[in-house]
Amino acid sequence: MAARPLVTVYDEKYEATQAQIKLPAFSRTNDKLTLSRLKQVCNTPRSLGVLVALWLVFHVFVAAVLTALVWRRWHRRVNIAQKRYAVTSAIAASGVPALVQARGHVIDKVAEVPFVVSDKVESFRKTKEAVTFLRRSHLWEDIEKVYNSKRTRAGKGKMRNRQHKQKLGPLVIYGQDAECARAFRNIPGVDVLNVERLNILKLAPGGHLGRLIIWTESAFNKLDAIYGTQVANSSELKKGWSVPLAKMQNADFARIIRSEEVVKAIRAPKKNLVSAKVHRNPLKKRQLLHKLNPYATALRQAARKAGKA
Amino acid sequence: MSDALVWQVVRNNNSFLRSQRGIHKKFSVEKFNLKGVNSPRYSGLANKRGIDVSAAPSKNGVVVSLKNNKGQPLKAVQSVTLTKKTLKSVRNIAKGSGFGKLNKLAQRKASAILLSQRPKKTKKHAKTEA
Repeated sequence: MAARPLVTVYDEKYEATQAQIKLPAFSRTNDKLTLSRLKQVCNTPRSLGVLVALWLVFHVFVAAVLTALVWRRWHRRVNIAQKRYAVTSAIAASGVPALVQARGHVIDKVAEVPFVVSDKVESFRKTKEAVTFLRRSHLWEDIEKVYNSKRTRAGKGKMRNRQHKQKLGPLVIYGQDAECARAFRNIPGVDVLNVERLNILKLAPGGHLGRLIIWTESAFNKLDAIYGTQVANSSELKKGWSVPLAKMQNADFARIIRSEEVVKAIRAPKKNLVSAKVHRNPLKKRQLLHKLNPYATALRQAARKAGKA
Repeated sequence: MSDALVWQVVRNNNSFLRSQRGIHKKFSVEKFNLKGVNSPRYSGLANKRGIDVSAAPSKNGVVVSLKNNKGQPLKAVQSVTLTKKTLKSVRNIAKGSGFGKLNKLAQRKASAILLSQRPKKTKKHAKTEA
């Protein structure tokens, strides 16, 4: 089994500390991969009907996205295992820079994704401190994006107390000190969550994976205890739960298709493909006519001369 | 996470997708997508390595960026600004860093950018008789 990659912990001044944490079991994303299968928990109109299921069959990928049901069942029960599955998948996706960028977050200058900071951040009480921290960590570009995106909502939502719309910024997940929410909550686009009470609607808003997450060290350390490792029933806080196992050990399609075993099993590509010739009408194509009857050109010219005279 | 899996997540929905009525083709505007089309081959998201050509902020010359497979955007991306012998340098960079297949495409994009940076000729209007 490959070693779990390490994540550097940054302090509130955006300097790398000595501390390094192992990635939580389900976020291992290199060769052994946790299949991200997200089943959106549907209890808001916005997310209802978004059902993203990623299946990996032997060497075929099938991704099915069902959206936009016309009528809505407002409340429906979702199995608890599926909710946990969704949360773990969403967290795993938030550790992949490409997916975070694809969701629209600006992370060009962020040192590392997943971004883990020391617990000093949890002691923030003033928004000013939080803003300085975000600026130093180059996360402010993402907030800037939120500021620029504020617009009036289209449609009747305006008269239903939802006048404005704006994009979402980073999500702060703390481990111990809930009071840090006071420092962060007034910054547009920022959400704050407790690691023990994660909310799928915040982790994957609208059913789209890859929210930019700022973890505090204590929160990140708790993940293995909460969601378990790949050992059965290894979660300490969720009874009978452990991380979903990977359906495939290697999900790299390019590598599979070029692997020795597969290449051996299939025949060599046909290089000299003979395609059927298209039969053209020689009466319309002069070159063809010329091939059949070399005298035809002279005949036609003679005919034209005769016509002119 | 493998590129193939990233592509499956990203292909139908991401913030860079652009589509229009009447054009049955999806475009994608992310960095490292030289062709600007939404396809696994050219995608800047679902390819760990990549080359990108964009206009320099000074409006003089182009910026060539390379992305290697270190995973993190900050560590993986290197950029250089080219103002002289641009096309030749683009070719050398592309070929030298293993993007021989994208070489022509990179050059084409660079030359389009250079063309757009030239001062616009003001049209001389024919004098109308008053």
